Amino acid sequence: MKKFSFKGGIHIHGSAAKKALTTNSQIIIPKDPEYLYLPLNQQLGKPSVPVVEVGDQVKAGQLLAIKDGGFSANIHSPISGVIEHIDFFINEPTGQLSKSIVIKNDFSNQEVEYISRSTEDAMKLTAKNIVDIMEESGLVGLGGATFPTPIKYLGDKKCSAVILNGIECEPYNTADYAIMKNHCKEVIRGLKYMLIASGAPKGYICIEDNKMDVYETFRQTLSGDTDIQVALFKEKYPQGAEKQLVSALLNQEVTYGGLPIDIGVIVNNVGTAKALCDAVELGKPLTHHYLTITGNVKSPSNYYVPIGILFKDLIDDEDFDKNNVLLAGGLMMGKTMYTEMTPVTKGINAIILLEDLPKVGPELQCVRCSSCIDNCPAFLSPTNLAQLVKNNKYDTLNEYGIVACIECGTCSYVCPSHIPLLDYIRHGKLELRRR
Amino acid sequence: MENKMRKVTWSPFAHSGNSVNMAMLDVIISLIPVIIASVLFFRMGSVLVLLTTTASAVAFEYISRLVLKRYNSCQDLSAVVTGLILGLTLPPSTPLIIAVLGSLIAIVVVKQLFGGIGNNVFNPAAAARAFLLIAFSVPLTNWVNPMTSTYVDATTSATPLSLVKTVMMNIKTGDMEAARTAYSVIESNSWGLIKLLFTGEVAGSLGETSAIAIIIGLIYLIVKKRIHTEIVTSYVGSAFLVTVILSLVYDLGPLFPLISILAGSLLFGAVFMATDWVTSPMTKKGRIIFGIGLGVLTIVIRTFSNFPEGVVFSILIMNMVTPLIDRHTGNRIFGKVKVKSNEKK
Repeated sequence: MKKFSFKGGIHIHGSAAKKALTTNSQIIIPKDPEYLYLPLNQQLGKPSVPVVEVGDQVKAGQLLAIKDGGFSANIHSPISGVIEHIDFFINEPTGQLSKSIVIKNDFSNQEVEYISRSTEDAMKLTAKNIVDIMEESGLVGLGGATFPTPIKYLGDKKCSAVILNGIECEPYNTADYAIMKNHCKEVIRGLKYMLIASGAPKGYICIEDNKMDVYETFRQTLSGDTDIQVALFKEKYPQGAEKQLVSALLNQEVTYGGLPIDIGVIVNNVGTAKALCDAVELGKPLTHHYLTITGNVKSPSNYYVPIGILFKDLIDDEDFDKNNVLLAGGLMMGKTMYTEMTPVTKGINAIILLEDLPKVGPELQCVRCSSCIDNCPAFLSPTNLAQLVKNNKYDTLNEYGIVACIECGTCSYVCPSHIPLLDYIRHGKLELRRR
Repeated sequence: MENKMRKVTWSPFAHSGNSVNMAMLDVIISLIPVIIASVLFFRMGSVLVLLTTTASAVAFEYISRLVLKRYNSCQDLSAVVTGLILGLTLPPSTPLIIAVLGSLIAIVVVKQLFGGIGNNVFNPAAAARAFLLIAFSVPLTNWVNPMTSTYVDATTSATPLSLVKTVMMNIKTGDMEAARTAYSVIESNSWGLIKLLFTGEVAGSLGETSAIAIIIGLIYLIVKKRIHTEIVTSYVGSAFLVTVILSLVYDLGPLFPLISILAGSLLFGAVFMATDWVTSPMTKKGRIIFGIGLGVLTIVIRTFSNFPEGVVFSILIMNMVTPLIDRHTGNRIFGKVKVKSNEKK
């Protein structure tokens, strides 16, 4: 059996054990909280514009904020209730304070009337219809980047393949695994709608070889289907990065600084496919999604949560008290939150509680061991980039290809001198953007 | 609980646990077979020289960091590695004061004055060895036979390398008859010589004699992923190829290349000195160029210079061009199409 893989990358120590915490857990649906906080800029691009007023009564599924231009997304209410604020500042999981809409739950569970379609009807939809549904339902990339999905399908460039990313290479995360395990058929139908929307003849579902059970399920479900291929990948971090995924699968590199569509492919997360299937068939906008709550907690598990629920409402106080580090996102690419008064946004697929940060020695001089270079999935020289940043030579950073950095953290992970290479590179990127 | 402040930092929130002193510890462990072999063959001579170089290297590291007002770097074990490697390149009869001087050159001049580990341009042990060879060539070429030796050459009490060197010298002067006569000394018992070169029961520097001990160390380093194997393979491979060409051109018989590889400090230099992280190039391509340069230079120096051995000199020369190699062998960046250097912005 052919296993795809990319050049570079690492095996994260103890990754299997970390995933094992939540792989076999039931999906928990938490009880609806009293308040939901929906940040207005939870997607990449411009913040959405509220279309409701303070005091308005809203139903579940109702539009709360409309997208501001093309590069933005709609936001819908996950619950029924009353709008308490429309510009309440709250700590967003990106680490910034952001305006948010606050809804007080009235526990009446009223829903708007969703326009549902049968699968046969849905398959007859045109590309335009499906892209419209994506736009209306506020679909964004659920892999973590929250790139507004319809934009990927709107370009003029010809698309030859849609790739569904079910790799999930982050050590603790299993939310995508849970989706693939429990909603195999929805994911496949979601991919079919994506194929219609893109006009691509070929679809791929990418699964890493630490999830053999879902790979087999997909293979059996798709036996006889020639349009969609299930591809097996070697377990390696960061296999789930979209550019590395495309190059491993199709042996074709996304052009420097470009997007996958530049070489005619669209990459979407399996969670996005599931959400699209719900949007097309049930008419439901994106108001709930899956996430993993794990780490040093009493009962690590996967959850199906409304967007806007606070971390505080999802996790026991006891678990919060015994841990010093609260991560939103993965162990390798997530962000630390200073407070549990942080709402779940569309891009958060894991909450990880850790007792403490890893004990890393003081930063030493680079010993030129070249492990960062040998393992960099973007073929960069992180140590050179860090050195340039240290010397304030920002102008030469582009020459050394800083744009190709996907911030996977491999360099910082392997460095024997404990140099926070990625921190230097991020600083360099920020400085370049500031100019 | 509401007011509990959490630790905030940047990703990634995991580390491989890799560290410089673990790497150095692995190098020390990989040197153990070589040390054992040298103690077996040279007894007290080996023990004294190794202890002197190692202890003085650590002492110089400590003192120089103190004088230079930097943090104490002795715990990273790199001074121990330098001291051991320097000791292993010296003959067992080296006067101890010269060994101490070698450590001084290696640690203070070559390493600490350039800024400590990571900043040194030259491999400290190689530079110190080259200095000692030039400054004290008589004591440093005073070879003794191993204590357990059964191999006593009839005409000379020389190292296998000096037999090779005699052949090479005659090639240089164009005296082919003499070269073949010199080679016939080797040829008369070539398999026996090769066997001795593998076990190490020959005269030579402490660490360089036993090929088996060096190969065990190499395997350990490969298993622990502490070594860039492409340097070793391209170094040994290119040196082998060059001697194959030499032996074909001058009709020296099929075993001459193998003997030239095993004799002298080529293997030891390839495994423990050329692969030094700090002074070798950082990309695979660069390391292959580096290794080829080493191989060719070593044989060229052995053949055409007055020095018997070319390993340390070739390492120093290639160390010198490492920044140049690094500059021109950068990896192609993901997604970038290769552009010619004159088309760059």
